[in-house]
Formats: sequence, C-alpha cells, structure tokens
Amino acid sequence: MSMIVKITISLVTILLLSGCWDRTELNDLAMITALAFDKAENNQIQTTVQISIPQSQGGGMMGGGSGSTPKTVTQSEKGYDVTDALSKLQRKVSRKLFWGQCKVFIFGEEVAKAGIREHFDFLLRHPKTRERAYLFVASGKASEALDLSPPSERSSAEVLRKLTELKIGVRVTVEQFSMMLKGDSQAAALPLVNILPPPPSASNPNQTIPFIFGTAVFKKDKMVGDISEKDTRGVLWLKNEIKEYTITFKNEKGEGLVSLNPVKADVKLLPKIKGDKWVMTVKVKTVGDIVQNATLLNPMNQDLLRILNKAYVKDVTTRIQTALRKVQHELKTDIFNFASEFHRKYPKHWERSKDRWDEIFPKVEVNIKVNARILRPGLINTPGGMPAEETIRH
Amino acid sequence: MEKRNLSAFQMGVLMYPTVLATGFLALPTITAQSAKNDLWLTCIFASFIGLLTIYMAFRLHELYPGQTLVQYSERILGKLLGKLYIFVFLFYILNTSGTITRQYAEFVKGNFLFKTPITIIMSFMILLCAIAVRGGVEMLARCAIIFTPIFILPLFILLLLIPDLDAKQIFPVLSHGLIPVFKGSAQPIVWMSEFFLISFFLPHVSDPEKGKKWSYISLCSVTLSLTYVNLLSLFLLGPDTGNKIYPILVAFRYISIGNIFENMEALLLAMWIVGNFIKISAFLYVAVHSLRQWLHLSDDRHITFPLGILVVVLGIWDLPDSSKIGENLKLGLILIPSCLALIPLILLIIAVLRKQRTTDEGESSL
Repeated sequence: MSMIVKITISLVTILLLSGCWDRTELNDLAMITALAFDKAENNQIQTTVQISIPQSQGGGMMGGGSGSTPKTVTQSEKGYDVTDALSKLQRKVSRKLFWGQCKVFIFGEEVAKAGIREHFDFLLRHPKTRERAYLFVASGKASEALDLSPPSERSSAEVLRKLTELKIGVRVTVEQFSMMLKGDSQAAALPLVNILPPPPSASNPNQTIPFIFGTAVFKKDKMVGDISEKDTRGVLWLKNEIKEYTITFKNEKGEGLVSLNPVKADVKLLPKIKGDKWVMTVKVKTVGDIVQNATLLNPMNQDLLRILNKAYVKDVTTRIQTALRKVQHELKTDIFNFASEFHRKYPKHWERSKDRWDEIFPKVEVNIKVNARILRPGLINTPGGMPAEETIRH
Repeated sequence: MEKRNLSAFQMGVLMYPTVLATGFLALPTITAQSAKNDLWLTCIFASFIGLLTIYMAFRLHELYPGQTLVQYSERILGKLLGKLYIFVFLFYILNTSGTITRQYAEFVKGNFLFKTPITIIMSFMILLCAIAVRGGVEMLARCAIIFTPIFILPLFILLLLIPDLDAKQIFPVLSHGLIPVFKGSAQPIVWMSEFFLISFFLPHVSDPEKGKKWSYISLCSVTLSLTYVNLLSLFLLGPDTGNKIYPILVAFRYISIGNIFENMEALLLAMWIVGNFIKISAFLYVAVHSLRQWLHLSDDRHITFPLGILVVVLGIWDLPDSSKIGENLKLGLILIPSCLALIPLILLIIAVLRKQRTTDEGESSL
C-alpha cells in the first residue's frame, strides 16, 4: 500500500519538473536585438525595438542569404516612460518581447541632451535587460539606425555590436556607464552612431549600415557635446584603450608618410598635487611595426630610425594634446576619469575639494611623456619599389 | 544519548553552505553600503566573531559532553530561565528559517520564475528540506557532501571575468578610517555567528578531537569565499556595488567569453538552490531538534512537517515586501548575534565559574 503511495507521489513530482508556470516556448518569443530611445512630443518617449524575424534566420545561414529580404522588423510606440511605451508596443507584436539577446541600446541625440537618467534606470533595474549590452548615441534619430537592413549582417544591431568589439571607438557597456556616472568624475563618453550613405547601386536606401563616428560626451546624465573621430583617437590614448591601432605620421627629414600597425600602448596616469596646483603626468609607452614607408629613409639605419621614432613621439603627443584641448578646455568634462586617479593617490585632499572638481579639472596641468619605439621594419628594409642608391641611407 | 554518526569532516562541509548560502549573494551589497571600497575587510573582521562562537560551542560541549544548547542552558541557567531562553531561541531559529526561505524564494521569483507564485517556491523547498531533516543528521551530512562541491564550483567560473576586472578600484584603502568598516562588519557578524549551530551537531560527531580543526577550516573557507566574492564585486562594479540588490547575479550575467559563454546566471541559480537547501535544512533540523528537547518528546518525526509549515508561514507573515525584509535584516543585527553569540558567552562564563566553584568546593571538602 505505502509503495503505491510513494510511486504516486514521485510520479506527481515528475510532472512539476517541467518548470510550472514559467514555461516559455521559442515560438512564443520575439527576440529583440536592439532598443532605441527617441524624444516624442508632449515630453513623451518613443521606444523602437528591432526584432529578428525567425523564419529568415535559418535561410540566412545558408549560402550568404539574399540581401533583399529584411531579416529584422522594427516597431515603435510612444509612452510616458520606457516601460509604458514598451507595454503599449507589446500590443503590436504577437509574440512576447524577449530581452535576453538584446545587446544594443541607442539613445537619440535629443534624448541624450535632455538627460537619460530615467530611461537608464530601466536598463539597470529590469531583471531581463543585460548589463553587458552596449550603449550608443545616435546623431539624429536613434530609430533610423534600426530601420536599416545591412547587406552583410543579420541586423543593424549586429553591425554595431561587431564594430564595437573591433575596438575602433570607445566601448561602453550598460554597467560601465553606470559606474562612470556613479564614480568620482560623473562623466562618461559613449560612441556616436551615424548612418553610412548607401552606395548608388543599392536598390533600397535602407541597404546600408550604421557606423561609429566620434564620441558623445556626457556630464552627469546629460550629453554636453560631441567630439570628432580624430579627437576620439586621442581620447582612446588617454583612456588606455589602444589595441591593434594604426598610426600615420610625417617626419622632419624629407617628404612622405610612415604608417605603423599594430601599435600597442601602455598609458599610465600619474597624479600629483603641489600646493594649489593639480598636475597629471601622462606616461605613454608605445611600440609599433612599420607596414608602409613612403619616405626615402631606411629604417634599418639606427640614426634614421631615431628620426622616425622622434616623429612617432611627436605624433602621439599631438593626438593626445588635441583631444585634451577639446575635452578639457572646451567641454570641461572629465571623461578620462582623472578624478579617480587623484582620489586614489590623495584621498584626504580629494574629500576636501571634490565638490569643486568641475572648476579644478579644466585647470589641471597635463604633462605628456611619450616613449615610442618602432620595433620592426616589416618584410623589407630600404623603401620598396626603387633602387637602393636613391634612398637616404644615413 | 544520540547516535554518533557524523564525522568531523562532514560537519565542516555541512557548515560551509549553512553559513554562506545566503551570504555570498546579499553581503557584498550590504557591506558596500557602509564600507564602500573597503568592503573586503569586513568579512575578515567578522570572522573573529565566528572564531569566538566556534570556541564557545566547543568549550560548552567540553563542559557538558553529549548535550546540545537546549540541554545545557537549562542546567546552567536553571529550569525557568533556561526554558525561557530556549523559547526565545526557538522563536529566533524559526523566524530566521522563514526569512531565509523567503530570501531564497524572492531571488528565484524576482529573477527567474516570474510567474510562479512565491508560496509554491517556498513550500517545495521546505518540503524537500523537511524530508531531509526527517532522515536525520546523517542524511543532512551526506547531502552536504554531495551538494557542497556544486555550490563551490560556480564561484570559480567567476574567474572568467578577469578581463573585466579593475583591481585599482580597491584604492584608496581605508580613506575614511576604520569606523565605516566596523559598521559594515555588523552584517557579516550575523552570518558568522551562525557557526554556533555546530553546538547542535557536536553531540553526533564521532571523532570530536578533529571537530575543532574542521570547524576552523570551515570558518576559514567561508571567510575566504566571502572576501573573494566581495573583492570580485568591487573590482567589477566599483562604486556601483552598493547599489545592486545582488552584485553576484550581475557578475554572472556579465560573463561573456567569445560570445559563446554567456547568460551564465542559471549556474548561479543552481548554486543558490543547493546552497539554500542545505542551509534551510540545517536550520530546520536545529529547530526540530530544539523543540523536541525543549518539550522532552521522544521522537522528532511528528513535528518536522508541522514546523516546516510554520516556517513557510513565518516567511510570509509580516514580510509584505522586499523592503521590509531588508528592514528585518537590520533588526536581526541585534537579535541574531545576541541569540547565537552573546547569550552563549554568558552561558559559558556562568558555566566556567560554576565548574570552578564546584571544584573549589570539592577541594575544600577533601
């Protein structure tokens, strides 16, 4: 008798193993690949989601897929806040919105300038959005970047994610952004997204990609300005995010440019407070290999190499200086997180003056010390495509 | 006399998830709120209380061998006071079990099973724990031996985060002095004082001479694990640690290796379930055992399920929302260490004084 009871009980528990109420089927879910925030009238927010279309996904894997059929669809809706807008948006989508694969969040420029704190709270608080998703700011309307159907990837969100992982611009995840705004400097930099003009041969104007061009600068939760692609490179140096980088520079002896790739760098920020003067020494140690040499100099010659090294140092210093001029003196926003460096070295001093950091930062004196060395000449020694006699050898 | 069918090693392994299960998820954020970037020091400070409670449990057990807290507190404090203390202790242990069960279920419901009613999550866990407790202390120990490795392994998976960690977040060390660190230590002390529960397992230990060694090893591993988890959340989240409800959940979600190893939080859930299974079972075992000895019942099998139901009820009653659970945790700051550390300390002092007097009297009467 008790045997029967035991067997019945274990059979009943097996039924519960399927996970009770929270069973979800893949065909009931709408995979969101990106979410965009735009400003709408009456102080409302417009949210746009990009959903991958399940049927064409399998087909896309085989034989390159046809570029003409879109593999994603976008839907947008307005609301008083993000959650409100998204709940209204659910009415237009037959499947339940699923956040697990959403790795791209884009803020429209207008929203970014008005302040993103309330929207950003949703990204941090919602249990299903992911902290590792990347954040972007679109120059213009964010939803436009999602409407594109790129020829080479499944979705424009995928394009942005892959571009970010190539580390060509600043790379900021939701969690990192949250830390930047909570940290000592309360400033952040996000990559700026533009839309590449479609090639004239494209049948559909949407057949293009969004790409990263420049950086949006945030003070607290508001975007205060943007910096150009050129200055962004200087910012990357200061943030020690240089990896597999390319540098092209002139030298004082003769015409022509030299290009180095990959360039590796190690950047150290050394803070110092002397009385009332705050000084930051930026120590850069960088090495690179020559991949193109349009000058007449033979890099295997120690004397000539010294000239090239000097030009290399000068180029890196200029890059950093241009970025500093823009960020430190024009935008006056500490996206390099100098604040934390000072805080760590001078905790007591920092406590006293942290409220005045906005005034102090533009006045911080920055010394740049670059140690740059060209390590290898590539596969050839004297400049290629000409007789060795015509080159400068000493 | 109880059967001695628990080895010292098993007891040490059993105590590890019993103390740590809820701690590694809740402590980084609680300690970060007051100690900021010095949070990693808090557990090291708190471990001294753990050291004290283990020492007390062993000393009391040496003075009253084969007896649990329930039995010797009656002999030390007298029948009335002893019974009263055990009543308070029983209330505490049941209430704490309820809170732990609720915390366990809150995490599961808030992050994974959104639609499942919380009562179901709690009841099924308690059902499982009650079955384990009915099996006796040996069953608990064997469960612990099997599940503790599953509980520990995911902690190592967090090492995949190394590329995202920033060790500089630890500086400046102690920039606000020691006071915030001591304030931050208050909560880990609650967890560390739970080591006193070994006083209920000691009468079963078959090799008591090794008991001390394994308890201290257990304490060391708990302290190390907590410090590791604290440091990891600090390195990953920096100033944001105190703002997360579950920093370690964020850490698990943040793991991404080559876009393949992602969404690892299911591992955390597995670890959370097995850890809390052991923890709740140990607490329920102590509750059942002390009630039995308090009322001098001959068998504890009849009271296991009723007490289990009481634990579920206590986990729902008076805890309307998570903010209230947080409030109650702060209240527990006073109640728990006094139940598990302060009163045992008083017990020990009285017991030692008494022993001295009886030996003195014995000597003088000679």
